[in-house]
Amino acid sequence: MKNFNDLKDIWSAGNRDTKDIISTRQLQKRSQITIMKKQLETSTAMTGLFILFILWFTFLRNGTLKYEQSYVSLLLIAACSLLLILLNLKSLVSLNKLNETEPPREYLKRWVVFYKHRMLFYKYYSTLLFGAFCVSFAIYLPEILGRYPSIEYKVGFIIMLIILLISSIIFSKKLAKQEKLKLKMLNNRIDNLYREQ
Amino acid sequence: MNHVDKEFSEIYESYYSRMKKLCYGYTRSLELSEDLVQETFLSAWKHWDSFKGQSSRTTWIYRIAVNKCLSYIQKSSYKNEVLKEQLEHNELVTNIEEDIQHLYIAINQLEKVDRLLISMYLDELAYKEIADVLGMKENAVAVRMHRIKKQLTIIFNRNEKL
Repeated sequence: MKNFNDLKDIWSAGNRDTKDIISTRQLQKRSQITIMKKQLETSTAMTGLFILFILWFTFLRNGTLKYEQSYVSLLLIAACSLLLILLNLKSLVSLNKLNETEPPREYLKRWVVFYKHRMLFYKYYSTLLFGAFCVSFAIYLPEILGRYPSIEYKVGFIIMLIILLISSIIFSKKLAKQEKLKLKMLNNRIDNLYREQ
Repeated sequence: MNHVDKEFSEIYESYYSRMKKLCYGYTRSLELSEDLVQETFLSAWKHWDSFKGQSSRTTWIYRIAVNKCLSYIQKSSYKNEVLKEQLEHNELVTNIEEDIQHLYIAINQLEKVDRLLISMYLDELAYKEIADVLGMKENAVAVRMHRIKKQLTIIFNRNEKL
C-alpha cells in the first residue's frame, strides 16, 4: 500500500530518462497552427489567382463570349470565390489571435471561436458556395454546348450536378460533425478546468 | 551562440524532461508527447521576446505546454483518440520501468485536465505556480489537488493489486 509521497518519489525517479537534448537550431518542426495558417494562406492565394483569371477571361482576353448570360455566370463565380477568400481570411484572423502564452481559458476560447467558424463554414457556407458554383456553371453551359443542346446533354448535366451537390452536402455534413465534436471536447475541457472556480 | 540562444538552450535543458513527462502523462503516447514538447519549445522560441517577466519562466513554459496539450484535439477525432489510447497503453507497458509504468497508468485513468494538474504538482510546482499557469485561484487549485491526490493514490494501489 503506497501513499502519495511514495508516488512523488516514483515520479522523481523517472527524471533519469528523456535526456535527448537538442539545440535550438534543430527545432525546425512546424507547429500545427503554422501548418493550418500555411494551408489557409495558400488556399486564399490560389483563389485570388482564380478570380484574376476569371476576370481576365471575362473582360480582357481577345474575343467575346457568345451569350450575355455567360458574363453573369462568370461574375457569379468570381463573387463566390471572393466570398471564399473572405471566409478564409476570417479563419486566418482567428488563428492569428491564438497565443499559447495566455491562460488556458482564454487560449481555448480562441480555439472555440475558430472551430465555430469552421463548423458554420462546413455546415452552411460551403454547400451554398458549391450550389452557387453549380448554378453558375449551368448558366455558362450554353457557351460550351450551344443554346439548344440535345436533351441527353441536358439530362446528363443535371444528373452530374445533382450528384456533385449531394456529395458536397454529405462531405460538408461530415466535416461539420467533426468540428462540432472538437468544439464539444474543447468546451468540456474548459468546463472541467474551471468548474471549481 | 548569442545571448538569447544560450538562455533558450538552458531553458530547454532544464525543462525538456519535465515537459515530456507532463505531455506524456496527458497523451499516453511517446511520439505525440515528443511532438507536443517540440511544439512547446518552438512556441516558446517564437514568443521569447514577448515574455514580459510578469510570471516566472517556469510558469510561462508550463502554460505553453498545458495549452498545447489541452488544444491537442485538432489532430484527431474522438474515435482516433480512443484507438490511440489503446495502442499507446501497450507501448507504455513495454517501455518504462514497472513503478513508473504503474504511475503513468494511474495518471492516465484520471480526467484529462486532472492529469496536467497532478503532473505539475508531482514536478514540485507550488499551488501558486499551478494557479498562475492555469489562470485559477490558488484556493481552487488546493481544493482540487487534494481530491486528485486522493484519487490517484487509490487508483495506483488498486492497479497494483490487480
